[in-house]
Amino acid sequence: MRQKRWTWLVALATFALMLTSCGGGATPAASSEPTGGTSEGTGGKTLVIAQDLSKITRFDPERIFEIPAYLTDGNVYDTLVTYKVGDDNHIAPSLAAALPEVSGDGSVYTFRLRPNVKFASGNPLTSADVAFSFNRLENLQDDPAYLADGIQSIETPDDLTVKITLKYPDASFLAALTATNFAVLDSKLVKEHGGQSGPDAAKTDTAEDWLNAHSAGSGPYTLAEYMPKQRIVLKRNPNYWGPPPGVDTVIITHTGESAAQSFAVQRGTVDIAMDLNIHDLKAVQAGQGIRIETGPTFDLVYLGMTADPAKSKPLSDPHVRLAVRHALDYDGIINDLLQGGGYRPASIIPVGLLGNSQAMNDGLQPKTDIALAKKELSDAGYPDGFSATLLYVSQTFDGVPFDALAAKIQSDLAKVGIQVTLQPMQSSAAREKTRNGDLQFYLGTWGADYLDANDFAQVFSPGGPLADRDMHYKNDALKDLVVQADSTTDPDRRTSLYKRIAEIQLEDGPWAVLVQPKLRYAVRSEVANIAVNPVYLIDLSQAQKK
Amino acid sequence: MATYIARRLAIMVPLLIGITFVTFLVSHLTPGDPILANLGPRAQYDPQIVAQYRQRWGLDKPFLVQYYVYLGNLVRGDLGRSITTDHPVRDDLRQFFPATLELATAAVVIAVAGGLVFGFVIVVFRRTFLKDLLDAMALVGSSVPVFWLGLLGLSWLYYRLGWLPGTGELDPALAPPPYTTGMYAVDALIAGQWATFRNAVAHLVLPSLSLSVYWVGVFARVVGSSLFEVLQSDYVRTARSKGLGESAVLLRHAFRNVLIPVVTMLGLAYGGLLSGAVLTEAIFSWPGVGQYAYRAAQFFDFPAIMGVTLVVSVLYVVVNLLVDVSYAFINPQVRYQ
Repeated sequence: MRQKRWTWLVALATFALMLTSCGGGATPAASSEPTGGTSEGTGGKTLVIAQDLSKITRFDPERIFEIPAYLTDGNVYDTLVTYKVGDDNHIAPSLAAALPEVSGDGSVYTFRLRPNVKFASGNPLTSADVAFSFNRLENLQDDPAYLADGIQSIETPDDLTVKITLKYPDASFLAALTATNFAVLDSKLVKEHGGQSGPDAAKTDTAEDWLNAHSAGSGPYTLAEYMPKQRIVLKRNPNYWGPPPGVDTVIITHTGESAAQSFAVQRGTVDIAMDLNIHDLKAVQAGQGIRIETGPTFDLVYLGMTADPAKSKPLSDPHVRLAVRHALDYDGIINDLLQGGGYRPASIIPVGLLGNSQAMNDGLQPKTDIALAKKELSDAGYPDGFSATLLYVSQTFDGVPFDALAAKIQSDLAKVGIQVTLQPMQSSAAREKTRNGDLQFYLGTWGADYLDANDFAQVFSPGGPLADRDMHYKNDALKDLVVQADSTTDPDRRTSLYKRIAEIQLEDGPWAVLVQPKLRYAVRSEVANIAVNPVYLIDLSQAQKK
Repeated sequence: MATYIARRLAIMVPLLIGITFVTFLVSHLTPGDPILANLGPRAQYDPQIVAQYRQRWGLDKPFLVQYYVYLGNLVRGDLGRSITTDHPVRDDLRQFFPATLELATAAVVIAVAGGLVFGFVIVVFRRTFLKDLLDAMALVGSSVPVFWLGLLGLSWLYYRLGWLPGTGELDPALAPPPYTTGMYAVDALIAGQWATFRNAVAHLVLPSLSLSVYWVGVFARVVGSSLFEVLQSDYVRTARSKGLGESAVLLRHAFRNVLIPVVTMLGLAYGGLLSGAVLTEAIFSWPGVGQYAYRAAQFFDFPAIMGVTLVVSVLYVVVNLLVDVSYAFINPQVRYQ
């Protein structure tokens, strides 16, 4: 008996020793080196991307809403039209052969599909797939369903024609179609796995599990493997209709910490690091063989101010809100705090969308002017300022650290006598407060659902959720203007309407828009031809690797 | 002995039912709305989508009905579907739990082995420089935050020196071994994939070391004080007076008696390591149950919270039972009726 126990102890000690010494011989495998064992993508090129996958829950394109998941779905699925990178306001055909014919009143869109397109499965892509996908998006009643709310009917006169009739004229519809949620799915394949698109699809559709681990698209890659919080493997789609990508396999590996991503991209364990904070971006930039790829987001970080006198008497006065807009040090926020990691929109419409060109934006930007801010405050009856709380979610959004930003706002406003108390919270607790408008100052974000000014004008103006429920802001003239702008088809007329909306928001509105963040990814020099994309983060369709 | 174990196992059933009820109650009483936490800002304002969502996740029913439905499903082995991963909870646990178990086990092995060695050294070489050094190490080990230690380890041993691999359970290019236990090192060994095994073990070193540092200190102190006591006892004096060498006294007579408090600590440490893994998993992007539970709690993912609680409870109860049973083997004086 004693003998046995000793053996057991010796074995235990040996294992412990092995465990602690074994690492000595193992060197980290650079992604370009063959790793042996059961290496993925044998005989082809493999691109490795470090991304924080912790927020991803699913890949069904008609259900996704979590931003990190768009990287995968955007490279696996195609849409009828797509946002053309590097060309603001421009929408290019993708699965559509050309931009659609639009009826005179702007409510009927007729698309001709690109002929001879096959899904990865080999099934031909037809108008029936488009109708199935768009109906499913609407009828699943999941997060992105509202995108399809305006669709009255979808007709398919022949295999390559899709006629979409809207409930009301909507000039932003084409931009909405660039959203990955409007992906065209292989209806035959999806139906085989329980997919439904009828009015009761919310209850009868059972394709979700299958779509979380497989794909049914026509894009440059297919989803080959998904292990939650661990990795995603994409394989080149042999049936892709466009020029084939230069890599055969894309591995997206979960790396939660910015510091760990920075180590991994510098050692070459990964080729692209997507979630570096400002500090690590700087460290990576100083290294060799790495470049930073930059592109715009169409997201806004804003300071909201309640218009409800019951929540804050001073802030409900438009003069006070104007004073706040002039008291903030916008250049300091963008250049020092974010190290140049963002653009500065004048008002609630991001720079680069139709209705807010760079030139127009520069003309409208409120200037930092402490004297003017103080004058507005004393005109409103607050020469010595006042105090208020600033509610925010303690988070990092598009590389913007909210704790530091809130502290910066606090110190800026102190210069004009406004004493701000910071109120950091978890996201669900903060939402509990915002939905009742139970706030004074609020540091919030809005991401583009689709790349059109209407998405922003609508939510930030009366009638939209942020203005109504969060800030209790009322302005009937502004509300009418937003409706008018969205039903106008003439681009010049739309632009002037959005300019007017921005001007009213700058005089009277409850927002100080602080920054439109940039996407900044660290990319190793072996990798070429990746395009930062505001809809799905990185377009990998032309990716090359040495 | 067999009746004792059977009785302990039988008590588990009402215990676990009690645990499910309390967890269900507490998680549902916590202020917060799963709708606000999980639906996007647009969908939250759409009453139709909100109603659909409540119905889908069973949130439209009263509390007791929800609990009854949950228990019914549980009996059939259905743990429900996680809101945050959109996967069946059972599949999630199958995936995430072994990763944490592997990490915690490696950390326990390091903690016990390190604690025994250091504990003996502290006592045997007392009043020397080595003892002071180890004392200092034990102190530092039990006061340094895991977060800092983990990043420091990554920065030096991975980034600067390249002796160890970076975060995750395997290098990105390696495919996981076929699923047997869910623990990659073990599964790779079973499948005979040596490269994967070496890689999995190398990936375990940093996280398990940083997770175990605190417990090495704790075990060293427990072993040290217990050994000190044992060395004062009569039978050790007798052994010495028989003319036995010091090493024989230590290894043959003292060692077994020192093991008893170590085994008691082991049960505690295992629980501590499982919960302590939350931070370690975050730093090392380790796909374990700690991060899963953390996200589930943040987003009011009731099925996942329940699933994790159940598995951890079962594990706790089983580990404690094993600890009690092992006393009988280590010390023949212990008998269970």
